[in-house]
Amino acid sequence: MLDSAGSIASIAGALVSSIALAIAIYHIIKLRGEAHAARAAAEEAQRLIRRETTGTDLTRLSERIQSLIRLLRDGNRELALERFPDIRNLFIDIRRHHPNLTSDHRSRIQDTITSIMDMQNELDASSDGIQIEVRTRFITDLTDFQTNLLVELEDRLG
Amino acid sequence: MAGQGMNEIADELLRRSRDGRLAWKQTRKGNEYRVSFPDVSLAISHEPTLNTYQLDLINEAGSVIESIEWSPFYSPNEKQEDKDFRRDILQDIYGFAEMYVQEEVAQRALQYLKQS
Repeated sequence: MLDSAGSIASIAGALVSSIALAIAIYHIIKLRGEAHAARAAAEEAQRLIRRETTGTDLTRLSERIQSLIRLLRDGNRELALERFPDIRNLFIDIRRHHPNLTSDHRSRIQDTITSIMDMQNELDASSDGIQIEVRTRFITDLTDFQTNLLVELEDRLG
Repeated sequence: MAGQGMNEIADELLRRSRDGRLAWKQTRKGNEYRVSFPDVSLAISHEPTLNTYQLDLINEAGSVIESIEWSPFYSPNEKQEDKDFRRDILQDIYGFAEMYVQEEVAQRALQYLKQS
């Protein structure tokens, strides 16, 4: 009789332990699922913020280049000279904020920054306004940056 | 005179250019070729009137931070063999960069012709 009662108690104990273990496993799985979901949500939020920031950076860069083109067309050397560093810095920011950019894109950004510095130095050295030939060359190059590199960056990062 | 680092860069640049492993581009200046990496550029230029050669190291912001040059008129106190060595390296880098760009243009032309 005692043996039988002991067995029942033993079985009941094992049953309770199993239920407790099942509940514990369920909670762990649920928590893991929630943690995973929370992490995924955080990553998605970061991706959206990054995308938004990139979009803003690229839009701002495109606007600055457009503004510089207008200044060059108007022959406004002084204001044009002030725009070059802004544009270079925006390119530098984009490269810095996106370590996932390919080596090729980073190299092309570097080449563009160097070209913009060359333009700035050339314009700075010409104290007698902006000659038509120089203006045309600069506008061609700046338009090229807008229509090629910026579009590619938008596709890559957007 | 630039530091030892620039001489090492020039040596390596020449080696890589000789192997055709660098994507040189001609700049708007015409007598200058540039190769860019993710955050640094190198430019080799030749001034035909004075017959000078110059190699520039350009930082991530587009500024020239170091250069080496060769000119028949500079460094009168420098040993002739050192001057000749530097001239040969810079001349060769320029030559390989020029050749790379010419070949690249020729290949593109050929490709277009074959497609047309």
